[in-house]
Amino acid sequence: MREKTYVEDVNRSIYDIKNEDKDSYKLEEGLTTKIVEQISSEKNDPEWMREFRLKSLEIYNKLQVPDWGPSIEGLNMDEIVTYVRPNTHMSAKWSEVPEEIKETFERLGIPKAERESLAGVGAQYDSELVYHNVREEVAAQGVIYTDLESALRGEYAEMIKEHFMKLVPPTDHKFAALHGAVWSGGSFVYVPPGVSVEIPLQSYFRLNAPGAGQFEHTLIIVDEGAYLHFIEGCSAPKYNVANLHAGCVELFVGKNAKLRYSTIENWSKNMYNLNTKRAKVEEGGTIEWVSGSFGSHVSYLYPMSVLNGKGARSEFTGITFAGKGQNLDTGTKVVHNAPETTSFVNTRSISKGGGISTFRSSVVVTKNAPKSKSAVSCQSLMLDSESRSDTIPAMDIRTQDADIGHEAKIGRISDEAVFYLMSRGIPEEDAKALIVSGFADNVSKELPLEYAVEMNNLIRLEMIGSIG
Amino acid sequence: MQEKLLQINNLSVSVEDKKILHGIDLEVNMGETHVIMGPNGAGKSTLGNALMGNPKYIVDGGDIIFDGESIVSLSADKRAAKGIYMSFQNPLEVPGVSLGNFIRSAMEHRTGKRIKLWDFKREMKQAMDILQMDESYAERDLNVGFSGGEKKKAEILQLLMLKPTLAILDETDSGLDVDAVRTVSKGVEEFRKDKKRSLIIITHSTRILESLNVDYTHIIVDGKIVETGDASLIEEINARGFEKYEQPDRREQ
Amino acid sequence: MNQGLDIKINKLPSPTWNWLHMNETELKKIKLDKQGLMEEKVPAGIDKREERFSSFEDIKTGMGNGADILINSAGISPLSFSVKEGVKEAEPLKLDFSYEDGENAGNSVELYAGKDSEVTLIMDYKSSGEGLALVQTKIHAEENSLVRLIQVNRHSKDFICMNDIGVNLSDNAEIDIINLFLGGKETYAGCHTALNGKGSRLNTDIGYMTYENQKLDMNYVASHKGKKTKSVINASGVLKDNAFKLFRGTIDFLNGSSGSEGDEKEDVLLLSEGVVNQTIPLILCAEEDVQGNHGATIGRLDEDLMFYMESRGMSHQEIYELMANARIDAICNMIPDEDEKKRIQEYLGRGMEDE
Repeated sequence: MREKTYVEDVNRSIYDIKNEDKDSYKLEEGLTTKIVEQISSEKNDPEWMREFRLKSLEIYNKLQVPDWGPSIEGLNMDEIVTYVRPNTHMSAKWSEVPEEIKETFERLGIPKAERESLAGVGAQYDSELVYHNVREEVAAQGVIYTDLESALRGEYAEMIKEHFMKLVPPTDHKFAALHGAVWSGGSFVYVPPGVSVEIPLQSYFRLNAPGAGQFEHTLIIVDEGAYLHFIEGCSAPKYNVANLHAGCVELFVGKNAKLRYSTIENWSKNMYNLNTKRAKVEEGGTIEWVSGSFGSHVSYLYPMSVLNGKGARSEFTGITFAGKGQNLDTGTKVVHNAPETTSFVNTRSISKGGGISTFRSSVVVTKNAPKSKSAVSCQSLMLDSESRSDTIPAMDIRTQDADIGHEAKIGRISDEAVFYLMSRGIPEEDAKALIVSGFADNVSKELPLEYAVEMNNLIRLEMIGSIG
Repeated sequence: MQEKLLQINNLSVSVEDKKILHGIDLEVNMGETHVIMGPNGAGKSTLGNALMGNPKYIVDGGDIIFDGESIVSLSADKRAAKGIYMSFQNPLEVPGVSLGNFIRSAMEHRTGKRIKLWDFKREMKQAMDILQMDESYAERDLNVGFSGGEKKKAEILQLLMLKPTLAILDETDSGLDVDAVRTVSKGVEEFRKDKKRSLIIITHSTRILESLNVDYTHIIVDGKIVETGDASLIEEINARGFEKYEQPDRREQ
Repeated sequence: MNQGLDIKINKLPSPTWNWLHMNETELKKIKLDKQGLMEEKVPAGIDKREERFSSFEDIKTGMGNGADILINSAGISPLSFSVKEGVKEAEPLKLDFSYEDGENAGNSVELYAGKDSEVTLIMDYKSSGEGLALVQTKIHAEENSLVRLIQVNRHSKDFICMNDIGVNLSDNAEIDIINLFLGGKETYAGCHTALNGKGSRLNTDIGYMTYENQKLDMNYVASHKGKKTKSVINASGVLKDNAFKLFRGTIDFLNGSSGSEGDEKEDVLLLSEGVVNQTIPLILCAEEDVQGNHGATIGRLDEDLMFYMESRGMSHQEIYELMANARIDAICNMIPDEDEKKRIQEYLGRGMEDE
């Protein structure tokens, strides 16, 4: 077998942190007004943003950690250095990116993918973007793809002020407030009316510093009748201390516009991934989420679609693979708030080696949404009996004229199917990996080919420990 | 390959603690075609599954020698690698895995070599033509949404592509209409063109046998081979059924 | 006299977002003053006991300990029945509860089904005026026994109905539960079944017609502990006017419950604009070798069905009413007692038309 990636054994010590210091969750020490002000002045924030950060900090200190999801006791804010800035400035040429950082991204295949199949790339290393570039012909269409911080001071400053954390207000939950206070880096995309960006844009987030946090903010506005496919990739090397990712993604999909937002998340298994993603869709618009969750120690991830205009649509396709030491709580939220809106949810989750995966969802249909339709389908696969798989879907329907369907299924790999494949000469492990990859094909067939291959490799890696 | 391809010695098999086969002896030489007949529940499919190594079927005693080596302790994939193939009575549906990719991956495991996409496609097309299968089936998920007849054709397609030395066809003709039986038979004839290949056909009807040269016929009743003969035995069963072989107390039930 | 207690009931076995307000239900200033009036019809094969079964305290119920607190605060003593080993009683044990205007009453019922026994328990609730009635039913079914539990809520439109069930099943024991919720201003229903024994089985059929300003809040839990256990929960109902319904349904596969199956289905017909329909069907799983399924259809009638029936000359209104009644009738027809069926028809105002 060829090994593509060397995978370090999961180090037990991360889990042991939990037991050492149960009550050490003290925010004051980790995050102070001073730190927030310092971030703000280093960023050269406009005044409103400085105030916004401080306000968010206040909210953060008032809010409680969630009492319903996976434990985040192991996340000790004292140990999180909230802001780590690499020693470089953002560049539009890979040759100007420091050698070590460039090498990292090269190993991840980012510059190559940019040459071959992307319309633009942003690369963030810890708290800062180190690279941002967009193809000329795309820029010529009026498409803006830049880092959010410079956009905050440039031509689009007003647009950002109008949208920034309006969809995900800091009051949403504790980690949204944290994000509001310390956010750093991230991308801004604006696609003008009627422009269709034929090839995807990609942002890649790499968290390199041990014990660090990443708080990037992605703001995408797809104007009337426009189209965009945005790909987000994340990874981090493995450390023995907890890392925190509390990013925020706000997507505004205009009238009759369409945005596809794909993520393959492969954070290392010491990551607390407390990310918030939300899209607001206007009349006739479509948001498509494609979401693969493979990494992280603990995840809270529920991309939300607010269908705010007549005929707006959302599709969510997701896969979660929880292996040893992982507690991945993922799913989606949909609010139908206009007539004739449609939502489709199709997810798969896999639990193995003591991993816990939870599918959590909510579908809310308000009084404003007659003739709406929603179909949720979630399937879970248990690969052994030390693992756990829960399905927690909620529905709140407040109009008579709705058509709501839901189905959930949980089970195992059938012995007969394994025998069938083995009888054709395929070894047991491969047979199981094949069946699991097949199980995950709802997502892989929605991804561009090279990402689908990458995802299948991740599955194989989890199943067999090598890449075929 | 040894002339004496398969040798089953005093084989006893149980399923979920229920004894099904009681001391089966059978020899299959290279190039021979054997037919196994018997009433429902006699243990015909159990024999096939035990030969292929289905973990649900427990070998309580006896031995299976294939190509000079005991295979009782080998898993199904190892047996497949040695050249045994079984066409399933009820082929399993495997969502997300296309028929084409599956066959290619099985062939690569069988031969231990990468197969060039172009070569594969050409060979696949030839085999599919014989079976009158539309090429689009290669792109469809393995057996998912296939009709009974399509599933059986897909089984024979795999047989032609994987080229085993011993093929066990478990009720391949059951539930098929006349045309489908003819197509499947054509596939089996194609397989038999190589005179070194052997066949065990498990069936309770005789339609699939019409176009094949049968060397031996075995009758299994209550987990035992009660009679062995040549092809003429098939006609006798056709005319009179299994009644003569069944124990009187069983018949009354 | 006490001022009433604030209690929490119908807790979801695994919580979710608090903003959904589905995790549990809080009832403020609830009090019980007395034991409710009850008429009983005890067939020969069933024994009425003087003392309660001490082991029954460990039986978990769907409402949770909020209901226990209420029962204990009012000093309500349970009615205990038992069926001896091997006794298969064909006649149902019937308990008719009736509550008066202004009452805040509670009852506690215990049923012990011995090994290889069979028993049917039919409980009927009615009331007049305003008030509150809590009935807690605990059942222990021994090896190979079969218990049928039928409960019908025919309360007055101003009564608060609290119906709490707890069941423990031994090896190969089976319970069939039928719950029909028609009356009451507010109905709170909890039901927890512990499938402890190998091969034990649960079948639950819930039917409801929630109209006007009625509120229905449910929590049904099938907890699979034994191997090869099987649970089915079917809920089917109709919401109209400003009705509110929350259905929590949980299939919980505990570690060790290998070979088990759980199935949950919900079918809700919404007849008016003002209804609120909340559903949260959980499948919790800590065992590989299990199969769990959940399906829900909520909302309109199927378009093809509508067209078919319209083509036979029926109006929209008529079709919906017909389908709504059909749902209730389907549950009603499962009740193995003609008298009880008749009472239901009377309550629905359909009376004696076929007599």
